[in-house]
Amino acid sequence: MNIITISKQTMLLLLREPKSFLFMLAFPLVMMLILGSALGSAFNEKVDIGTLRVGYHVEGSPQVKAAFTQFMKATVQDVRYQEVTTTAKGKNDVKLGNRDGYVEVNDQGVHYYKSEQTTIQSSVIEGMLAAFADRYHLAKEIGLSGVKDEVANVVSEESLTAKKAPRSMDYYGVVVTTMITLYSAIGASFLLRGERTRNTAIRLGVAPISKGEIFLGKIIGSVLMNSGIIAVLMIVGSLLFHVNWGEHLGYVILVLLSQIVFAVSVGVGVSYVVATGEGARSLLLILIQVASFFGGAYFKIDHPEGFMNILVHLSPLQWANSAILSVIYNDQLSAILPVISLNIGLAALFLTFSAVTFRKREGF
Amino acid sequence: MNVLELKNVTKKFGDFIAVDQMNLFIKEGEIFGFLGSNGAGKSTTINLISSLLRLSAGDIYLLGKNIAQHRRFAKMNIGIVPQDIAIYEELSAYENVRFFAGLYGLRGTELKKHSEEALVFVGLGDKMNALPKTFSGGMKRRLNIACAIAHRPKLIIMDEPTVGIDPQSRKYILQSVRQLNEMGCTIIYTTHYMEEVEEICSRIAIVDHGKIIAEGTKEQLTNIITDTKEVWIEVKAIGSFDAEVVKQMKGVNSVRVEEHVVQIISQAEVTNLHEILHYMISQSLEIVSLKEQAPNLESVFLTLTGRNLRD
Repeated sequence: MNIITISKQTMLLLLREPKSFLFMLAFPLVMMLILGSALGSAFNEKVDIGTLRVGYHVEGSPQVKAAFTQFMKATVQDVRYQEVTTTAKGKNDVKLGNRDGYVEVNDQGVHYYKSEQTTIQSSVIEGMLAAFADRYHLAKEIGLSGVKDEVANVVSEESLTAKKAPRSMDYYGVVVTTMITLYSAIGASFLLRGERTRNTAIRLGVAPISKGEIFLGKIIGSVLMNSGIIAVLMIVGSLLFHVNWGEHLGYVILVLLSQIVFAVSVGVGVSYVVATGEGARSLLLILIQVASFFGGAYFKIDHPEGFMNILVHLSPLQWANSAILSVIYNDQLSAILPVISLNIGLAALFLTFSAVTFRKREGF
Repeated sequence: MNVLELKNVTKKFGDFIAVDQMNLFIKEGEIFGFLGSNGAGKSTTINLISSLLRLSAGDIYLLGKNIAQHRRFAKMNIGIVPQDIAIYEELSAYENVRFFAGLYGLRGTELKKHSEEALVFVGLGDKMNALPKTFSGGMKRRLNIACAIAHRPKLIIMDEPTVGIDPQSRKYILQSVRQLNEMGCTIIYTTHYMEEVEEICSRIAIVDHGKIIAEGTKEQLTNIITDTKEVWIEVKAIGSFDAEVVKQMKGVNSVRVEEHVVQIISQAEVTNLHEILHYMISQSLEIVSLKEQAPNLESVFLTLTGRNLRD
């Protein structure tokens, strides 16, 4: 019961701080608007697609083989073809981003596996293959009998990476929201320290409640309050900017919730490591900014390499963004498990450290 | 019956002994004055009684129960009015009292009733929904008290409850302390204002270097220093008066200067007034008045500790 009392009071205190509350709501909305509008071109504008890279495997009748060879000759200026021996290898190359697509041609039809890591390139290849299929349809009419039955007039697709892609506003809607979850750490660093600066720590310390109840009550209150802020942000983002949160909202919320728990735990942990409140705040601000930058909150970082790749993957924001975008645009629900495990695992470490330090400390 | 009993209570911080084998008892219904200059060990003792700090040695009994073994019982029966105002500025007066009282197991209508009564008691009945940031210093001090009494503790510890407030609020608080006492609360009262102690405390302990160096009623304490006399000399301007010179004179125990008044405590059997006056005249000090003062708590404190209470 005391935990609930302290949680409620913690939420009330956060609610009564209009500056922090406004920052947590207005700042991300403004960021979504500015970044989503200003950097929209990075998501929408025409780009130089360069040479297309396609793996292929042809089986079946000699007519089909001859037709596809002719097709390749006709398009070799724009496309670099490479024969692949097995379907698995062909798909894997696409998955790894080594090719823009993989096509299998046989008597049953044309099967195309496209990558949406390189969305535009994949779509161009898809169009070419459609034309190829159409051409054989026309050929039948001029007397190439039998071909119609062997090569279907369809392009069957199987996407290995993504079926959809986010608009600029969708992307920034997600990444700015995950970034704001990290800002929960700053408020959390004042959860227990704030009681000391207000002198109310004395009252909590002399009350017939355990330190564990105070600790848990504060953490739960902060997590709930920040969850509420994120929920409002998601709703307002959806209404104002039509941010797409996908069809698996529950999974997205789970990731965000784990991210809030992680951020709150880091904030509390840092408050026990850094001597002053301002010091803790500054350190957290730096960490959040670095995590935000490498997590793609300001600029989308595609295919980082070398040391940059390491930095990007160290950002908690990148874990969450990657998982959420995979859920929304790839329907990869399993993508949330590693990130939730990591967030909760690290949160447990930070909370254990803080709880032990809090317990050992005399007074409050 | 003893409400509180300290037996050989010791608290060390590393090598520093803040409270040194302190023995003390406080009877039910007392307003107990706890005097000591800064760093004497008062706050540490209060923190030990309220279980904020752990004992290095000794035992503390509240209503006959050892607080180390009956921590919850002890906490339920103690109310603390901290020296620094301990309230949430973001919460209304009522929300503040309600929150803290709620930590003592009060719920529902009982919680509401106790919270409202506490606010009415301290004269903030009409300010229940106001935020403390709109309060004067005196009103905040009163809210500070309300937060400590809503759960109806048997023992209330008031640590400098009147610091920095106007005379009217001080009067109100002192009146509240008496009323709480009449309602059956035992009170430990610490202050830097000797006149408050003289006005409301039934028994007093003087703490110095972590030990109780004197204890008793006001009369008992002033009787300790029958071997001294106190002279107050008022001058027009303090000018070149040097207290160190007077301290060197025969029989002088201590000299204190406050604005235009020089307070000198000397051994009773020594005659030194003519020497003191001679020095003052030699320094061209214009004497306005001179009176011999019967020993009071201030002089007792000064004599026993060598310091003023406000040092």
